[in-house]
Formats: sequence, structure tokens, C-alpha cells
Amino acid sequence: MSEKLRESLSAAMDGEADEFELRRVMDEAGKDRVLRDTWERYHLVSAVLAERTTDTSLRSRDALRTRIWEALDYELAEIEAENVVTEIEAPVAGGASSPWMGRAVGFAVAFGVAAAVLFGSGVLEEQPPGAGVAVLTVPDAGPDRVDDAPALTHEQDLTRNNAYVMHHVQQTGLNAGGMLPFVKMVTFEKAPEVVVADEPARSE
Amino acid sequence: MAEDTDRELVRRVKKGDRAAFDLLFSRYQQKIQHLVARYVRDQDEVLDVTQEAFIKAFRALPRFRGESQFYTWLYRIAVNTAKNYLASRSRRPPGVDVDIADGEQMDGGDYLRDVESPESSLARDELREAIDAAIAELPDDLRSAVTLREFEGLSYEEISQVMDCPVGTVRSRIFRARDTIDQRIRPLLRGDAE
Repeated sequence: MSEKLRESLSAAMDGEADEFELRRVMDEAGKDRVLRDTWERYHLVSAVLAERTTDTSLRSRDALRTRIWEALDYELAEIEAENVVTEIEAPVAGGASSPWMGRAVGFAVAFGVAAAVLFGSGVLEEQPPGAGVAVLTVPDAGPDRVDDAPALTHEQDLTRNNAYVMHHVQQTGLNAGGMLPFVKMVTFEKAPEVVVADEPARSE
Repeated sequence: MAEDTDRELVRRVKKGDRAAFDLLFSRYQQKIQHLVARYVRDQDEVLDVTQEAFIKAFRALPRFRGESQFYTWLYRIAVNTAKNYLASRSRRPPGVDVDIADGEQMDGGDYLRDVESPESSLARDELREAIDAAIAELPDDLRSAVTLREFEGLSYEEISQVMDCPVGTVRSRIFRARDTIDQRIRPLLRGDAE
């Protein structure tokens, strides 16, 4: 036990130790019986000087301290025993609202959400590489080419393809989560009007 | 401030630190026992009531919010415990409560001689003589510092003004005085503790 620690102890006794010093000396006193005994003697001297001692014997003081802890330990043991009994009885009385059920429900919900996210993102990743804003440049099929069979087949393919791409772009916009894809999707919905307006010029 | 030390100890006890409770016990056991002796005259009863007061304090500590000083709170518990003890034995407590300042009073009083056994009285007198002798042999600056602290109850700041020296010097002087006294009394207490 260093002299510095004992000086800190003396200052702590008078309430004159700063916060850091106080914590340090209390930490040490918690571990060091010799330091605690010194603390006890410093207080005993103070009490003797102030003439407020009824018994200066350290032995009787130790005996009193032991009696207090025995009584408290007995009480704490009784409380712990009561708690154990309560915990054993709790599942019967608690029913569905028991902590175990709460955890199980929480896990099920978390699993469901995780599965939906993983499955949903997996589907979106399988989209064809053509799905995007670039399809805006694909010419729309006009009803004026219905009499040309080969052309009609080609036109129908284009229409179907365009509808397919449009559907996936919309899905991407809805499922992507960010604001930007959603904006793109909204822009895309207006695009066919523009394309249709340009179409007659290109047909000529 | 002394309350800072108590607050720190209380905080530790609340966290389950038993050593901190031992330090609180060492700090206030004499004061509480002295206070209880004003209500109860028999030494064994004084010990029983003191024990009960500390047990009650330990139980109630989680509810202690620090709005009053710890000693004031502990003092009330001790007074109530003593009064309840007397009531349970159909004995009347003193007509007027012992004031907290009276509990601190440096007057031993006749009641102390009723409570003390001849052996404990002798031990106390012997200890007091050793302390007085140690203080008398201290250098002037140490004796003045410890006297102003222990008898006058001045703070380090106040002592530094009285003695016209820095607070750090006061702190060091008080410690060195206590250390000297401690070395003097340790042999007297050693046989007792073993």
C-alpha cells in the first residue's frame, strides 16, 4: 500500500479527494484489506477525538459487521430461492405470453421478412439484360402494318417484347427500394406517347 | 465534499460492491452506535439496534435517491429503528428526539458510561491517551492542521486560509499527522483485532 494511496484515503475520508482520485482509491480499497483497515483506523481515531465511541474494540466491530452480513446473506438467499420457484412456475401461469413464445414469434417474423427479401431480389436479378431505360428507343408497332404478314410477325414480336420490358422496368422500379428507379419508371410511362408521335415520320 | 465520498460509496453498493458497504459501515458505525446509545442503555441492545439499522439501510439503499445527505438518511433510519425497538418492548423512547447535531456532539455524557463495559472503557481511555500523546509530539504545522480538521471540522480550503498555505500542503500535513497517529495506535489495536 503506497503512501500516495494512503494520502488519497485520508483526503477521501474528509471528502476532499477529486472524482478520479476517489474512484481509484475506492477501487483499491475494494481489493486491499490492509487499505480498508487503515480507513477503519482513521475513522476510529476521528471518533475517539470527537468522543463518540461506545466501543473502540476492532474485534467487536468485526463481529458486528459479520452479524450484519450473515443476516443480509440469509435474506438474499431467501429472496433468490423465491425467485427460482417463481421462474419454475412462470411457464404454466404465463401461457402464450411467456418469454419463450415471444422469442419464437419474433424469430418467425424475422425469418419471413428475410425470405421475402432474398426471394424477391433473386427474381429481379434474373431479369434480361435489356430491361432498362434504353428500351425507350424501340419503335412502337402501329396498326397500319397488319396486312404484311412477315412484317406483322416482327411487329408483334416487337410489341410483345416492348410490353415485357416495360413490365419488368415497372417491377424494377417498384422493388428497387430507392427513389431513383421509381422516378425512371414514372418517366417511362409517358415515353410511348412521345414514341407514337414520332412514328409517322419514321414510317415515311 | 464528504458527500462526494458517500455518493461514490453508495453508487458502488447499489452495483453490488460489498467492500463499499464495509467502508460505509466503518465510516458511520461509531456515529450510529453513539446515537443509538442515547435511546438504548444496554450495550448488547445498542449492538442489536445498530445492526438492525445497518441492515435496514442496506435494504433501503436501492431507493435512496441522494436528495438528502447519506448520513442524514442513515441517521433517520437509526432513530426510527431505536424507537421501534423500544416500542416493541413497551418502553418509552426519550420525549424529544435526539437532534442530529446532538448526535454529533463531542460530549461523552453519563449515558456513555452506562453503555460501556469497564473493559471497553479502559480500552477507549488507553486509546485516547495514545492519540493525545501522538498529537502532542507532532510538529506544529501537522498538529495545527489535524486539530483544525478533527476538532474544528474545517475544510481544507478553510485550513489553508487559516494556516496561510496551499490546499495541497494542508492535505499532505493532515495525512502525515494521521499516519503518525496510526503508527502509534496500531500496536494497541493489533492484539484486539487478532
